[in-house]
Amino acid sequence: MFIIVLGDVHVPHRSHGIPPEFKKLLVPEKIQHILCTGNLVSKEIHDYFKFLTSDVHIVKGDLDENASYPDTKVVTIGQFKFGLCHGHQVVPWGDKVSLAALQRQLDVDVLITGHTHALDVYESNGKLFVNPGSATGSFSNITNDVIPSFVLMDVQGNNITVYIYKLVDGAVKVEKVGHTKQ
Amino acid sequence: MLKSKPTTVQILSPEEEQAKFFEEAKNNVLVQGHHMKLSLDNGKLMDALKYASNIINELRTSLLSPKTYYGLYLVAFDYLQHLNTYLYEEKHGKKMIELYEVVQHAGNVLPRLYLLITVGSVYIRTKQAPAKDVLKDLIEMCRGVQHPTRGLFLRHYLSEVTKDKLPDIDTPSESGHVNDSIEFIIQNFTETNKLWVRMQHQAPSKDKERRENERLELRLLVGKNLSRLAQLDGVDQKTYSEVVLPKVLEQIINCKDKIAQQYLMEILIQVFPDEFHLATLDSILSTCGQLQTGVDVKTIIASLIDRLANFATRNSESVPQEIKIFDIFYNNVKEIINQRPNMELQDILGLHVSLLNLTLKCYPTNKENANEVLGLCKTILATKRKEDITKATCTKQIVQLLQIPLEAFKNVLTVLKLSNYQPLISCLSYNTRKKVSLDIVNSTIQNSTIIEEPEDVNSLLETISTLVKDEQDQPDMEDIDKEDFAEEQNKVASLIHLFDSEDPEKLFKIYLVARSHFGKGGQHRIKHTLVPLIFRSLKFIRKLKQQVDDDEISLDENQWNAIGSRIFQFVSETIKALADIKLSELSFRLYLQAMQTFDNCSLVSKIKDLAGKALLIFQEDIADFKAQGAALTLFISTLNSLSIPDEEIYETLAVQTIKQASRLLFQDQSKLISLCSHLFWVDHAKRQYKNEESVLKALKKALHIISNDSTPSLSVFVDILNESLYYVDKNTGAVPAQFIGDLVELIRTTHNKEGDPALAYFQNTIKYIQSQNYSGINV
Repeated sequence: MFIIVLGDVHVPHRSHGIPPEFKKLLVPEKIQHILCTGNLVSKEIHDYFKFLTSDVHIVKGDLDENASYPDTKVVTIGQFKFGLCHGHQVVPWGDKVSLAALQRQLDVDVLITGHTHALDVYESNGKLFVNPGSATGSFSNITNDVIPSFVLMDVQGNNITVYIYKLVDGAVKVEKVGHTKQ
Repeated sequence: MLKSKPTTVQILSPEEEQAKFFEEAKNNVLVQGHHMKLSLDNGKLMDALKYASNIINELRTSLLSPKTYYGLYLVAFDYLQHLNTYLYEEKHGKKMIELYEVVQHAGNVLPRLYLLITVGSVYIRTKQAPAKDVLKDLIEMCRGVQHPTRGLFLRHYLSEVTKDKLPDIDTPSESGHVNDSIEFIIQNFTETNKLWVRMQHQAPSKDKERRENERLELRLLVGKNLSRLAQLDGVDQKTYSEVVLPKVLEQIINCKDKIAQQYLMEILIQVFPDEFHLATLDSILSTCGQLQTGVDVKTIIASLIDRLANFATRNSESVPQEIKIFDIFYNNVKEIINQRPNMELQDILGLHVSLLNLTLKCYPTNKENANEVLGLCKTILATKRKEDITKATCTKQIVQLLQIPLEAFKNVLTVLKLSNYQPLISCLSYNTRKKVSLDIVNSTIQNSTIIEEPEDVNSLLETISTLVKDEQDQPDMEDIDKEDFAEEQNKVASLIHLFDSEDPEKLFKIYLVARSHFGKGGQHRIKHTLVPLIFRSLKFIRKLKQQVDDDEISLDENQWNAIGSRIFQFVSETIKALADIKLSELSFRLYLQAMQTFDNCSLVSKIKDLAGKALLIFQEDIADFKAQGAALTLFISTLNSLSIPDEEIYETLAVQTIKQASRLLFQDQSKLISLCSHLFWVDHAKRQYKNEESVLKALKKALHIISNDSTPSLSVFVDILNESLYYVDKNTGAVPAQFIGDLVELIRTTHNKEGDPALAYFQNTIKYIQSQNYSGINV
């Protein structure tokens, strides 16, 4: 089961589009779910996700106008509960202690947040925390020199393999992290 | 006198009548053919010739339409082939010269000539006479038939049976030279064409259309002659240019017949190789200028241009330098358009499309040619009426003219340099201008073309002005599809990310230029276009600051403050434009973004100003409670993130924030006040601000508010508990162990209701506390 995790796209506010190098990788047949941390901020990006797969989950970023996006969302895929939240509501932004509280609140196995444009994947207290960064590598007041990134998760039983995709100087770099549910 | 019995008169349709005549004639041919074969089998050649003559007599009919006549001709042709084979096998023991004499005695001219041609072809094949002499004789004799249909088929027969006997380059000189063949074919072509043209004048003018259709059915009989010429190895480029083409063109021009000219020009271009056309472009094109009115010159020239353009693409090296393909076509096309005032505008435009394709295929980097084509088009359009230009067929081609350079150059900057490009857009209707403008935008985005010069940005935005501002001929806003409009504006907005320069002065100038264009867009557009401009400006000053810090750019503090003020003014004025049209939540957030940027750039004096503007919007324009909660949360987190060194400013803002939070609904209030604790505990790389007392005060106040709520929610209690744990986890000393223990106890005893959705939240928090083994906390 393949899940694409991405967000903070900011088209057209901060970027003119998802890099073609990424678009080449995002092919409709291979993706079952999209979990998006928000800040799309246009309908065109929403439509693009819908074109990739019908199962798209989006939460509201601080600059999303779409009122139908919730602040948080919990999605169960296989044996995992995924919590989704843009993260601008977390004070201080991106703070691991605050994110842990959000994980407890949503009662999830994996917490996915964005907002900082800083890619981060780590385990804490047996839970998995994922920040896919910004899919367009767009400008941020929080993080300098943002590079485009997203995350692909392969869910198999109690295991998740997290593939991290980064666009560095025009080349896609992939890293792999494993996680097992406790 | 016999009285005639009444008879039923059967009235036949023209088709049935043709079928009847055809059946009768065909039966006669079959009967005579049968006898001819029998006679040949019995060695009675003279009898056979007589029957053959009878067969051909059936071709003397005038009752058949050309199409039916062709059917009959094919039946007769088979028998003549049989005779031909027999004669070649020489079982008859006669010399060909004798036979050649014999058949000349046939009574009627048509049978006589068919037989003569049949025998003549064998005569050549048996090499009993030089080909050139026999061919010359036959072609002369064929003049004897002047009836158009009969003549056409007779000459077709001549052409068919001699096609493998024509002298070519390898033929021994006594038989003849390729020039004999050329002369023979051209003469046959000329005469065939004359007969074909004459067909037109045979019928009364009311039958004109039927006649024209009949003629079209026979066009291959004329065209075949040109293919024959093309098949001769001896017709090389030189012979073609010097001998063949002049004669063929002479006939095409002199026949003064619309149908013939149209067809023959097309077939000429089709059957001879591209290299030949390249070498003779001027002759062909000047001929086009001399064709009758009503000939579709556009199609002829366009097909030639398209062929040569493709040829040039396939063989870029073999296009000789000295042949100025584009100039020749351009000058001739211009001339032809001048000479033919009745030419349809869509055809004129079609020629421009072909010309543009030609130059961009042959000379892919040449901008001048492309601009010349657009310029010619512009000049012509200036003389046309608006309603003609805006016809769908014409519009489509003008759009093509504008799209081709985008596709060919793949660089909007090159296209913008074509001085005739923008004026052509102006000729179009609103929707088409918009479509072309979108094509330009899409091409820029797809090719990621970076635009570095303020003048280029200006030129681009002027070119796509239909998308940038209101225009007189645009439909009412109510009639415009909102989604389409938003999508278009988002595309335009995306362009801003492609405006970039290494030179900060230039880049800022670019933003000023863009701002002045987008500023004219009105409220529906600026909502989309100004936001990226604000973010780019923020990114711009952050980068500049970085460069100053890294000593890449040297500025003293006064200089830096001056630049900062300019950008600040630009940014806050641009956000204000959005605030003025009541995009309150958006402008509030943009002010917060700007606060962070100017904080990062050590331009502290600006922060207070921006925060004040944001709070004003919050107070006056954000009415919805949920929106207020969200806005205030962001305000708190933003303040928490700042490195602001001026404590007085900071504390004023913190106090104001708490005041605002107190205006919200109880539930939101409590949660927000607990978040406000973060205003008093800032601990990041850029700033430490620690006020333990105020942290605890905020948490206690939050607890107090929720406790007094009539229906206090468990989740808010757990929120406060988690907020308190934050300060324990961070070892702040702000929250005593006792406070946590008491709070857990309070929740357990008072608010722990079964079935509450926040129960898992509470249990997860308890589990977490237990796992951490905090000293002094036992839950």
